[in-house]
Amino acid sequence: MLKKHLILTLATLLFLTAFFLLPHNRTWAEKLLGYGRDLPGQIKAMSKESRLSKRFGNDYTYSKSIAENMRKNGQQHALLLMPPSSYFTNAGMKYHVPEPAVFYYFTGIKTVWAVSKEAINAELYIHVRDGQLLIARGNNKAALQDSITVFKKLGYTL
Amino acid sequence: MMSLLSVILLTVVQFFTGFGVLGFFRLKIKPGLYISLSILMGIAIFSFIPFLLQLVKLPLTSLNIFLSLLATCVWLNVNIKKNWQQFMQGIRSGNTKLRMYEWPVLLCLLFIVAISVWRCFYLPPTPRDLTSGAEVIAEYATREKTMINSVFTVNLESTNNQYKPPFITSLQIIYKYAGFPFGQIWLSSIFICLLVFMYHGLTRYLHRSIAGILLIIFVAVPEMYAYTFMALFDYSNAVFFFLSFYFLIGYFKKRKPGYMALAGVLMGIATYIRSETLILAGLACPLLLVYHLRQKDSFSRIMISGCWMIAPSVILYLVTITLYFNLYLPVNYDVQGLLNTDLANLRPLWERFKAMHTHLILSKEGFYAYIFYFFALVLIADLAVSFRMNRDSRNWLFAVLLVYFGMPVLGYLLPLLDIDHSTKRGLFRIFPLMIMYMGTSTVLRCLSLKITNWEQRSELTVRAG
Repeated sequence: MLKKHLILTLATLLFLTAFFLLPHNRTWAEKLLGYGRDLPGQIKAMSKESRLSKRFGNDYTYSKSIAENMRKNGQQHALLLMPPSSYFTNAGMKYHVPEPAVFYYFTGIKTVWAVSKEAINAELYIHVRDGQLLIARGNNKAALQDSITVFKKLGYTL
Repeated sequence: MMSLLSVILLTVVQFFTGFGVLGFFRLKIKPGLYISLSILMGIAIFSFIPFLLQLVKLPLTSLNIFLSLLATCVWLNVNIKKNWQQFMQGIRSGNTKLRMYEWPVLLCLLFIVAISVWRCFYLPPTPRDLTSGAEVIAEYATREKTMINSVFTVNLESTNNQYKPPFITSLQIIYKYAGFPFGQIWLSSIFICLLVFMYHGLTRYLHRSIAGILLIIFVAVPEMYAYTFMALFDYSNAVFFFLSFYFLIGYFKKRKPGYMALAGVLMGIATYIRSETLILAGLACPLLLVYHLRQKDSFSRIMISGCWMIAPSVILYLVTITLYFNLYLPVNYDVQGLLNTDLANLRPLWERFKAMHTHLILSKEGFYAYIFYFFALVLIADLAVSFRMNRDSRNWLFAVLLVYFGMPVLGYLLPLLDIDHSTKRGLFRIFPLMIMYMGTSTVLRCLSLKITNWEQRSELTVRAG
């Protein structure tokens, strides 16, 4: 009986080896092993913030720093007009702008995109100068409308 | 440590909640199937509780939610004594001894599952569908004690993800209150319970070594595996859709009304998770009709079965979509507007069917690895060995074909369901069905029988000696 079980065990092992040698399965298994190798580093970074920044990268950290700046200035309730991602790419920054719902999930700040009719109601808008993210007031409706036109031309992607 | 304790506690309550529900259906199934099904059913019941509290406009505080969960569990177990005795009898008579040849597959699965569970626990929900929908609503629901919260005051023109049935939102709320900042860990319970259920389901027909191999083929579908740690609707939907077919086919065999009713309830849960499943539920009805016509059943019996199959799905659709969207959510959502109005033009249907093959099934990226090839191989061998196949595999094959042809139909009826996301993930429904088809195929059953006979021959010789 033991001998037969041993034969079946070897047969199963043989199948598993052959199975994971198939190209797509091999790639997948390597990915899994990679996930396994990430584990010690992840155990060291257990805070909610570090997990969020690890997963969402710049999308999260830039959004958070914008929100922090707004909070510092007591502007956390203001509606913020966000440029499209391509605007930041042109300015040499890697920032994929989260859509308003996701930005709200990350930061609790309400944003709007230039393609929306609500954009003109924005109280603040973001722009980049000399590689720095700046928050400008939207009081000057003409300047705000100019920014909306520029942002619209660049186009938004999800 | 606290997280582990929370998960254990929640799983125990889910088990007893599901156990109570299953008691109504008077099933006689193996303990492995019963335990995993109880937990799955418990998770489904849990997902209704915050939603129901929302419907009656009670604040979604942790106290209200956990008390409601406990009360539901107790209420569903008023007849626990009888059910428990029956269950324990099954446990005592069950054969849980692990054979040596099960270890390689088991260890392999343990590694795969452990990675998934860890990532599910550690990482926040990633898919955009969730972060701009269920997750953000759940996050603010825990702060504002209502699902209709400040998220709906945000500019939502870029998404319609807030208009999804509240299955995930409800579970996320519960698990966030239970101490998991990203919720999501309920998905691991669904994943593990599905594997346990499938393994025990397969060993009904197959030798354990073959059942284990089929399970590995199933788990190694890269695209589907990824969604065992990235919460989204499709994985859970595929699980309950599969379970519905499992009991529908069980009903064909045993003719017990409990099986039929359970199949309908499970299909209802699948519809609750993804509303377009209602169309697939409708497409499954011909199978039921053919079965009853063959049995020469009365018209009333056919109608009762049909009602059981469709009514839970329709009711849950009406409550979670029609009622909730129109009477509770602050902005109306026009579901009618999503339907294809040019149904006479069948070209998009053909295009969708073609794209499903070129972009997904046969894609170079290997989203589904080799599962379609293994399935085709077994199907061809099966047709060669016995063209008519056995009744079980014929039924499972129908289920496979339903999804295979149903997915392009869904994309044709609802153009919003795109090929790269909705159809890609919608095809998850087909994989457990394919595995069960293989599990019941004549060719693998013959092979299993031969292995079992060969394995037991020496044991019998020794006993005879």
